Amino acid sequence: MVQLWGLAGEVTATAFGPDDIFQDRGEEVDLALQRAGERLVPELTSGRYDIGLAAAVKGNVGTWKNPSFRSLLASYRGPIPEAETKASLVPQLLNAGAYRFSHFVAPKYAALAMQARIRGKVALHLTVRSATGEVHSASIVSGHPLLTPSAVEAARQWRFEPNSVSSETVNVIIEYDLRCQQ
Amino acid sequence: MFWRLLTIATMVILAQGAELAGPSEFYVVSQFFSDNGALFYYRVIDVKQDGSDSVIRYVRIAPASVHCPRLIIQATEARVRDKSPAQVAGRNNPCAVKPAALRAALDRYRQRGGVFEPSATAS
Repeated sequence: MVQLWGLAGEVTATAFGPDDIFQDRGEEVDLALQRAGERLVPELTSGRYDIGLAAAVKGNVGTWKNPSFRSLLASYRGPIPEAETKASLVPQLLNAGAYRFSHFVAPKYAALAMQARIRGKVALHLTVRSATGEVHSASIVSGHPLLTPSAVEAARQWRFEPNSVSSETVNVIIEYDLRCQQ
Repeated sequence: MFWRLLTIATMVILAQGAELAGPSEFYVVSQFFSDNGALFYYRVIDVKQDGSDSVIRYVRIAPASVHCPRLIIQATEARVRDKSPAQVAGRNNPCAVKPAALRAALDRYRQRGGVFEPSATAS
């Protein structure tokens, strides 16, 4: 029984080497792995592996009744390029079309905020030198403390096109969301 | 990328054409649970004989990222020359395990509760 725990690791190490072949392989290789996976959908959903899946699920937590790869993959829609999943994590300036920037820096999603699944809106009050478009200061109106620093840091680097803002104060809202294309 | 797996679940091995000497083919299904995304991951390893070689197919089904529950399937295949599935399994011979004993062990050590602490109750 104990030896069975070593079986999967030994087989994959023999065939694919000691490293996890699916992790950190780069975008191109990852996409190739995903395309190979997509081709296996008919076989995976044929029921061939369902007895194994059912037994694996039975030994774990959860309440999945009648486990099958067909039901697991019912929502599967094909490969996702890594860049797409990353792009969806870039915070968005709301109403961006209302502003004209000569230099724009997208805020970064702080790793800790992502890990803690913190999302929401950050409202900033900017003072802008209208003639040059430079952001003189950026202050927080509202927002989660784990989100606001990156918003302020980005906004301080923005430069509006000269004379493109009518007032020397500009209120902006940046939305931090964790989502992906469904 | 993170790869911290909190729970490694049951593995199930189905051997066909099995004798105590070892299987002529087998697969392993694993279900994993990550503490970094509260999401499940699956792996299938399928070993088949092809002449004097073994062909090993390895599949991973996982969320696209910890922030994106949409599933991806990754797969690859390798050929191990001049080794039968039994030789690939080596000393981890699934055919040496009695099915009834395996089932009993899985039932005995089944994860019955959540892996995390239940919500705190104010008193």
